[in-house]
Amino acid sequence: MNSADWQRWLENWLARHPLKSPTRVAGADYTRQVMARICAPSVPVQVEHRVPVWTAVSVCLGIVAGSSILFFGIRNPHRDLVQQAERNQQILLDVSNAIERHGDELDEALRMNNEMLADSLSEEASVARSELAPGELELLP
Amino acid sequence: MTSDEEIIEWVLRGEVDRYAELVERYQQSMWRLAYGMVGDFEDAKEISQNGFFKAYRHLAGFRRSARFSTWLYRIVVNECKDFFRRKGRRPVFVQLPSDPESEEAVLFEVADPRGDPGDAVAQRELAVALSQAIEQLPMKQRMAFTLRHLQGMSLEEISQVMGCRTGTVKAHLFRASEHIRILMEPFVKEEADR
Repeated sequence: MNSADWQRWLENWLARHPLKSPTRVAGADYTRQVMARICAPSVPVQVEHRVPVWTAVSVCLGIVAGSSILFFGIRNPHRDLVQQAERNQQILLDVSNAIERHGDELDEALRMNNEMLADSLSEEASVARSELAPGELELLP
Repeated sequence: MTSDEEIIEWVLRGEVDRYAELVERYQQSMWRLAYGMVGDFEDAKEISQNGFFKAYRHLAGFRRSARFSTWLYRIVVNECKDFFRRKGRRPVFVQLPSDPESEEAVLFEVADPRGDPGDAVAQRELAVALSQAIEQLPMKQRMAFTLRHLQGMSLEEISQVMGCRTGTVKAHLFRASEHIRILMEPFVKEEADR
């Protein structure tokens, strides 16, 4: 038996043999039992207070406005502080990088300056000595 | 006849007694639905009454976009699920009596007024086999099968009651039908041969 035949057979059989009806069992007090439970003083209907649309809209707008104030009033100063700190950090980084890049050159330049200074000092000293007349004693500082 | 919506309005305004009209109107359907699911009249009665009670308690939350009966079906279906959970994971809770002659062994009316009275025994065998095959179905398949074939609901209505898409309902129905077909094949063949 294929699926289509089976479906036909099932529907045909169920049409002739319906589900048993509960009326076979004493069911006269069904409604009374339900109503007895409902009308018990301890079982009130749960009333859901429906909020009018305009109230809901007002509350939503209030929440949005409050959030905006909080967002722009509190969050921005923090953001300025963070930006200032980031700028400072960037400056320090730039200085640090410059020192790293030019550190060797600076050392070299400094060393050459020192040498030149030393050379010029020694030249001046020798010129001064040569200008002294023979027999004059060099005055020591 | 007063509409469901009108009665609900009256009840919510404080005329609680008018809820009895809704109970009268739908008690057979709800009781039968629960019976199709659990296979016992007393359990089915309690389950469906719990459904009416819960529906009353949450009446103010009922959305008028759906039909009251659909909403009530859904509540009763959930009550059946709770019943299954209390009894165990699968709906193998239906203790059909081992004696096949017992009146409680079948979910269906066996006496067919249009049929041959001599055929009653064979029909009873089929009824017992079909009851047992339905009993073996997983819960959702059984639910879909009961709502479709025993309550006569449309796929759309079943999807609303079960809270799933119609495609899912179709899948449940197909699997349920195939499962029962395999179990019923020998009995159906026997009937065809007669």
